[in-house]
Amino acid sequence: MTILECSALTKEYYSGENVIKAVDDANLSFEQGEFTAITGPSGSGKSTLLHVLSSLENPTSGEVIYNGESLKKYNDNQLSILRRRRFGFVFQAYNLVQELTGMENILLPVMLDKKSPDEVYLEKLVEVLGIGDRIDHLPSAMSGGQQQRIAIVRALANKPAILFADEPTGNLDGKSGREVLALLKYVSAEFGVTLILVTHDLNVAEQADRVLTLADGKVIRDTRGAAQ
Amino acid sequence: MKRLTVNTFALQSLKKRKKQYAALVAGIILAMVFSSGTLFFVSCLSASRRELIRMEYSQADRIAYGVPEEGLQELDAQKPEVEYGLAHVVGFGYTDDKEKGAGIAWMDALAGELYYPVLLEGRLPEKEGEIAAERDALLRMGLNSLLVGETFTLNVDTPDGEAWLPAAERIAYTLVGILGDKRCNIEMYSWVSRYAPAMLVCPETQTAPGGREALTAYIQYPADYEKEFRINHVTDGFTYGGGPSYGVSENVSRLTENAVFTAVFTGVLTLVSALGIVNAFSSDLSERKKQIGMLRAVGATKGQIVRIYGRESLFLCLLCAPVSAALSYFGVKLLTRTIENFVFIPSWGVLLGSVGAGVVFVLLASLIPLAAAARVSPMQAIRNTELNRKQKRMRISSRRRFSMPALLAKRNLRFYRGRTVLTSLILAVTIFLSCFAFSFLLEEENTGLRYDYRLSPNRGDPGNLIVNYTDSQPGFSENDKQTLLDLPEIARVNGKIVLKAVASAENADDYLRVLNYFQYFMLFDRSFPLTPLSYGELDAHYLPSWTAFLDDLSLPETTAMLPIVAVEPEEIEKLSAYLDAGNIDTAKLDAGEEVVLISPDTLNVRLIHFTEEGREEYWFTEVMGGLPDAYMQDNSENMETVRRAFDVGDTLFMTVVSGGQPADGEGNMPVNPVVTQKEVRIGAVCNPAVPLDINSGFSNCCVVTTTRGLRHFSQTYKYQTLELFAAGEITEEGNARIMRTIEQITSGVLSNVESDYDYRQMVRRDNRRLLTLITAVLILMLSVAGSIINNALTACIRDGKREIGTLRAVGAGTGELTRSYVLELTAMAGVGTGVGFAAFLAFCFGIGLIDWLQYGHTMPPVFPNITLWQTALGVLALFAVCAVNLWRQIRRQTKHTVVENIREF
Repeated sequence: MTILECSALTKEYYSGENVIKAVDDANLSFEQGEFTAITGPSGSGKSTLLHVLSSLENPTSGEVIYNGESLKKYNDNQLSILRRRRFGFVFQAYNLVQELTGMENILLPVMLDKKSPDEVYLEKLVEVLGIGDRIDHLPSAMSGGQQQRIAIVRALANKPAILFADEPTGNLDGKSGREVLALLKYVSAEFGVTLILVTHDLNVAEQADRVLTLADGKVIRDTRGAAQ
Repeated sequence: MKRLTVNTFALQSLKKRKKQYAALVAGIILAMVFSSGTLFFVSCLSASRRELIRMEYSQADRIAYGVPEEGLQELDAQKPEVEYGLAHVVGFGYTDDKEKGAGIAWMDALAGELYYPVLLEGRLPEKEGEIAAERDALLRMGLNSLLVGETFTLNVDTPDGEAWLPAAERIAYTLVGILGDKRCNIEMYSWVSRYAPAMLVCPETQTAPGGREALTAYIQYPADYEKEFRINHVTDGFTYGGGPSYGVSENVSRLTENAVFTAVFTGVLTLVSALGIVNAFSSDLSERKKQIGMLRAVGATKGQIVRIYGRESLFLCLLCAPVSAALSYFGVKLLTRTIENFVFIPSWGVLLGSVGAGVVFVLLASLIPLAAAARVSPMQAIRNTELNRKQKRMRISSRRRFSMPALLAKRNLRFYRGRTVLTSLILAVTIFLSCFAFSFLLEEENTGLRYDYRLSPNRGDPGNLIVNYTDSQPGFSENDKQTLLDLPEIARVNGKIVLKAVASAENADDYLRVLNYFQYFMLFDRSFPLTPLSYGELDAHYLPSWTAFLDDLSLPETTAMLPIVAVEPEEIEKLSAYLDAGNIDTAKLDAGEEVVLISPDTLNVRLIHFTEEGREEYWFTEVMGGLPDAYMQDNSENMETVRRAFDVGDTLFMTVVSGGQPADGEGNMPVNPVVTQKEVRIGAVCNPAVPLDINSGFSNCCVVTTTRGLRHFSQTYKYQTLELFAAGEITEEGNARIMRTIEQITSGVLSNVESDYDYRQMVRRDNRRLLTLITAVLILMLSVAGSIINNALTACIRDGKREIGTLRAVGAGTGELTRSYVLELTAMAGVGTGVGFAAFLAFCFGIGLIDWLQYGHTMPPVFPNITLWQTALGVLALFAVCAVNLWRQIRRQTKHTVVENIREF
């Protein structure tokens, strides 16, 4: 079942007189529970595509359709609610709120939604990610790997439909990177979450169900079953 | 290739950051205007004060009237330290009444300079027959309608070197100039001789035949001459060799009062603006922290960082200096217009110096954040590890349930505690001062005078505290009182008479004896042995004149001075609230059978031995009753305490001595003394907390009766005060009519006339000016506090751009973000606001509480009408402005996409 799609999606940036097409006429659809890796060389528009798909950035033209509904109709507030309930984000630079502890960062989307946290679910996530002893610390007292794990739990806290990850292993050493990736794959499979991940690491891309390769903003290759 | 120097770096940076510097420049100008303006204002104030004193009194340190030959020799002997100029008094001019004239004199160069004539109109006389007169002198002689250029004739008494020739000359003069008052101003505080000139004629004018000019010396001491004496030269006696008399012109004191108030306010503003500067530079530097880090990384030393950014500050200051100088000048000029009797005398040197000081002040203020910025290591600056370090020092526990806006606001306040404390402090000070100012001013507006008009002679009764010189006593007659009562606008006239009297009573020896100790200087010879001393021994040291007085009148040894205060029956009734015993029966008071006694239930007197300038003396202090036991014990040495010995029904033996003033000086028995001795019954006893206008202020002890009752002791004694109460609201015309009648009555007596109408007009005018000033100041202070809060929150939002992006990414909308910052703002402003209001209320009620704890009776709060709403309104406005700015800043951030927020560079 298609959960997210985009048609004629274009994102342009202006640099002085020049127009740079970061995403050029992308027409894609993503199936529920599928793990998609977006790859390509630096400046190919991977991250921009992810940002536009996830509503973090508005497209210049074209549209993003979530669950059959175009996001064009959503105002800023509705997009915020969508992000907090249905989408999860993992960034390369972790992006934890520095003033909040690990646990508070995890609870952030739940609290913003004014819901009671599903403690059993969250405890399981914390256990799976192995960060039980760090969650009551501030991010400044954690390693990069630990911060990224917190960011993953935060992204999953509201049981999102889609998890967007932008170079989640980019700032981590090889071992931590591998662990984080394995965890991402595990949790997406375990909780039935669609995972869309940007990476320039082919080893990471190889593990995805589907690999989209971008060059100059265009999808030049769409390969399924690469991991198998 | 262009060389890169600190100057070029600073100039380029200034050019590139024009927009960012706009707010900083405004802050610098504000701080410089406050700091330099304060200095300039203080200098103008002191110049104005000097000028006003010169204009109102003269420039002389001392004025000696009728200086004899020996006096001149004495003055000459002190030359060159002491300089003097001479006024050659050629006559004493008057129209009809000899009492209402003024000295006519010409002055040598130095006397002219020291007398400092202020020409209100016309010119100084140049040839014989011309005269310039002080405005008051013309008024006293009934010549106030005379115009410059008109001729008039005066009766002129001629001096003969020692006294005055018996016959007056009739001399015609042409009025060529009207001078500002001096003689009458001096007379307000000091005795003035007939030799005091208030009319000037041309130099070398001769006296009438047979006369010899008298000399009045205007003396000037060198700056270091008897320093202590010099400091008070304004309040010195103006008589040659006479003792000092105290008091300053109301104009000068009011000017000082207003100006000190303004100066304190401006001083506080300067401090606040310094904090503003520190804050503005801090936020500017924190925005450029990465740049500083880069410079440090490429090898810039701490000193170079301070020099580079310090040079920027210097350029900014130099750019702002001329603007600040102009603003300071016009600001102070405008400010001084709101102060009555301010003579604006600017000193350009002081203005330039104060602007220079302003530059230094701003540079010093900017040095604080600069030094802090330079201390940061390169990586710290690039990465902002400051927050990390703070976080590591704090113990934080996780919350499992929270509201994101509240939790974030709380944490930010915790991590940036310094900023919160600073803001709270400024706000608290602002609010305290603002509440104080408004309550103070509105209280003045609400409290007019108790009466509508009040007439009193401007000199006290002659003689001492024992005898009444009926013929030379200044005051108002029954006829005067009746004339005032006949005015349709006047409903009631309260007269008050204080008659000097002595009293004795059976079984009250100790109380009366202690009462006399309060008149230590008058009744004792002060030659008793210094130690040890008992009160018993002291009794042997009464002055012989007092003992003789008692002997002459066959009065017992323990007779004490106890004045009789007579007021209207309506006023007497007010005493009912202070009754300790008995009843007030006005009919019996009128009949002279009874009196009301005001007397404390305990009298404490303490003999203090003191040494001053090698002199050893004893001094008595009166100690209020009802003090805590601990105080009484600590000060028990040489303390004598007596309890009130009188009760209702007891008899007082009152003795009143009246008569003509003797020629051989004041203080002696009168000519043809009339001694009235009368036994009166004490009808009621009051405690001395009675209103001050009834209490004579004489050791808190006096006898009170009605004005009718007083006539049993003296038929002729005059009213010392007449208080007029209007029938309704007084109109301008009504006021003019009343004042005309009052002028007629007071023309024979040098009097102080207080008018509630004038007072209210003056207070209203002054208050309106001060209120405008204070409102402006309040707005400025709140603006500074607001700018600090805004800077802090703006910096917080800018620094937290990435965090805003993160929060938006996880689903926070603009509403939640705004709420978080508004909560932070509320907490930042709330603490200071709460502390400010609480401190003010504590101040108002605290004094009453201290009084209650110390004396056991309550006092009203400092201000009867505590007004807080103006300040609250100001704070609300500040809050609204900050909230709007916050909303704008957040809007600016949320206009960007989440990704733009998150992006590092």
